[in-house]
Amino acid sequence: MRICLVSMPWHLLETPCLPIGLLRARVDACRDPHTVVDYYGNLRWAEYLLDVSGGQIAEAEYSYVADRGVWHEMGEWIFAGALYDDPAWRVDTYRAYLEARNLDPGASLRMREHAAGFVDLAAREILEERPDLVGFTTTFQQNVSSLAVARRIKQLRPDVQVVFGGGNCDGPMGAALHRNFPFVDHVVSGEGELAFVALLDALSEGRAPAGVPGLVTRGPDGESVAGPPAAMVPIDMVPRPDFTAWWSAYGDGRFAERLSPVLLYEASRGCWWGEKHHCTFCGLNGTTMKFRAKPATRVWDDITHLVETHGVLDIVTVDNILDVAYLAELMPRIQESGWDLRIRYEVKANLKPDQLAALRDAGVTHIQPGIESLNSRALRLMDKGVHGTQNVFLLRASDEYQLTVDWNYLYGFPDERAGDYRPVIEQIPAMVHLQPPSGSVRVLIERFSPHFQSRERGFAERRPSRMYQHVYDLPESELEDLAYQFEAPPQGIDEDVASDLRAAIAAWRHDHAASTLTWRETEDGLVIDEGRAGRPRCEYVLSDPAQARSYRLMERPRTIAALARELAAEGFAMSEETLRRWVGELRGAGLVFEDDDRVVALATNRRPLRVAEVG
Amino acid sequence: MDTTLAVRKPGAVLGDRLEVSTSELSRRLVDGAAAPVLLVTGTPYAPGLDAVTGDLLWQAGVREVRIRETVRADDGLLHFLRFLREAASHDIEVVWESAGDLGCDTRLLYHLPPRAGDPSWRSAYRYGLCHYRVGPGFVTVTDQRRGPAVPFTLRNPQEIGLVQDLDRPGPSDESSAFAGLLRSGLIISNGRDALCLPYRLRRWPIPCTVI
Repeated sequence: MRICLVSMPWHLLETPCLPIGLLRARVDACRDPHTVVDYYGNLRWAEYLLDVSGGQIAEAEYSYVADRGVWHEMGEWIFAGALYDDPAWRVDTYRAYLEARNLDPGASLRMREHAAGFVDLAAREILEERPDLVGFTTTFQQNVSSLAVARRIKQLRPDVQVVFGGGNCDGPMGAALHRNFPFVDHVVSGEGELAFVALLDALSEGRAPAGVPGLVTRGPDGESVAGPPAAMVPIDMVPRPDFTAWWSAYGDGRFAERLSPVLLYEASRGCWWGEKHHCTFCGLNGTTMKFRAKPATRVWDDITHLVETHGVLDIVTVDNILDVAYLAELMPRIQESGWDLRIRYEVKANLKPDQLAALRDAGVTHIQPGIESLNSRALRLMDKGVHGTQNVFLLRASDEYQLTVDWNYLYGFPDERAGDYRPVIEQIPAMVHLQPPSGSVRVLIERFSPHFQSRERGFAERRPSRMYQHVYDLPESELEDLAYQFEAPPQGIDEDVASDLRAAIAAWRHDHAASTLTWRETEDGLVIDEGRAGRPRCEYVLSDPAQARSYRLMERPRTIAALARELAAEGFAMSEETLRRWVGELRGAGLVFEDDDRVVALATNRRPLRVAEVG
Repeated sequence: MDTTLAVRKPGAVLGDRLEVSTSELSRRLVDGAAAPVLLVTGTPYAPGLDAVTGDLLWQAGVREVRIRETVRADDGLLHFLRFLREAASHDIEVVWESAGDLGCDTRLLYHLPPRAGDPSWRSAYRYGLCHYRVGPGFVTVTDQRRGPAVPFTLRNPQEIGLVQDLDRPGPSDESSAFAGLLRSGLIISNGRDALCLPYRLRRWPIPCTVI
């Protein structure tokens, strides 16, 4: 068979499509040989926009819809008019949605005007490849552009088999997509490495694919027939991705001269923390939480191959959590290579200093540790398994180890209280020299998360997020199965506390670039240089050896009692009461952060190297 | 323990600054006998400076180097530019001034710590403006001295060899690889010797995505 694998908008322009890279390699496992061609509809759409707009709609406008628009189905709305053959489809609903949230539409309204023309072009370009089967991979905002092109393909060539797969097809979402869009012949629901091969084998042998695990297909009368749930894919069956076709398309296209390519890599699936304690808001692992990681030797071989083949040193891993074994088994090998890699990784926030050093030395420059909050009680409600002071430690240590940290402050958890936020809000001005969150938002309800799975967790009145209203012509009962994001009446803190938190974080973001707080050892003792915005320049001098030692011990989070014991063991005996007085003095000057009877130092051991964002 | 936090006005702490001559600078750094601010005396292109690397300055905790003597456009200039490049690779500030024209297109130097009294240079300078990264069999160069530009890749072994060999001033040659790198402003030559201008990126800034 001739197979065309398609990645539609709003996949990022500078990265290959990982599902296509994996499935391309997996087709080799089929009984019969097949020819695979790729179609990067995301790149073609961006080029199309450049042409029709005379260069006015370019990569920045595309990225806005891809990055910001994902929270509002902006990209899906752009193609919804093409899907429903109605250029005016839900325009008013969309405008009202944006206005109610004071959101900038970017170039989305102009893009909508060109969507139908592009859908026709894309369908014809795909059919020029003479495919027997077209496979669409869809995650986040890739549903509607894929559906629109699939529908057009079926209009032009009804005999072509259309298959959908990807994150948007996991669980009930895949069945709902199949049920509501009759031009989709098959949906691979869940991990695709086994089901896609089984589907191709059935089709090439002339068998009906009904009964393939993880596949939803059509019965004799066109009705949806779901096979049994897919078995979990062993990590050994996850191949090294093949990005050669993407590399050609990217290199031949117009964005190679405008963007820096970034490779994607998947070393593991699932979440080892989530297996034990599922973070209450997280739905990212879909139906497969079980953690499976490639051996470090395989990861190293794959990375070597990809870096050598493409000459690209920037890598984003899509893993939901770093395998702790990689710290000892993989990172030193990467470091030994001497290559100047820049790797982004999601990690658990309880990393120790030597582990942060191992990451940095290997070229992991960018981490997403899932900080979410700086308050231990709120973190317990989320089942995060870290204390607030551990998160502050990670922020401070990331500056010391020169690691960029992505994080968000989440609120709105059932049973949280104002008291979980007020002390943090009060201490935020002392932390402005540390990397701020990108923002603070009320937690969303994601499918597959504990918040979603059990209504008794506090979001009993949930319904599909309002943003689906400007996209789909479907009743709420169908959206209930198709949607990934849901909303419910607000829980937890009220709007007064929430707005104070947002204001404090906005000030943090504003003051960060101009703020430092560093300590150094001098002949006068430990001296802390005050350089935070909003405070007069001064030096705090900890000349008493007990003062200096206590501050150094507070580099790692400690309870006051533990700190007193350690100081006593080092010959600095003092009562807990004295120590509390001293910690209170430090807190008064904003030199420590306190939460849940634990304390952690805020001054960094050296000035971080910062570069301001341009524009 | 005294539980009062002592506060004082900011000022020089004894041992914060150190005067050192160019000829003994590297030895001081190796011995760990440095200070956050170095006041450097002596000719700014003395041979001793060639042993000073960015790593050495960084590990010794140096934040700022002040060059006392005026820099001139003469045979030693490449050695001084090499020193500037090493300091720039770790974002270490260098305070220096030049006597008149440096005898080259200073826009090629905008990724290096700016000289005093040159507002164009100062406003153009930022960390990472022109650097390279090493991969297996290739070198990726980011050069934004003339404005925003995406990185490009060197795969020619001769070009990669020159980037490495001209880490310190070395002889110019007649090869096409040399001519190409000279044309693109990645090496600078005084006719006899040449120097690789971009530094190898050793420290990632925060956020690491901006360069």
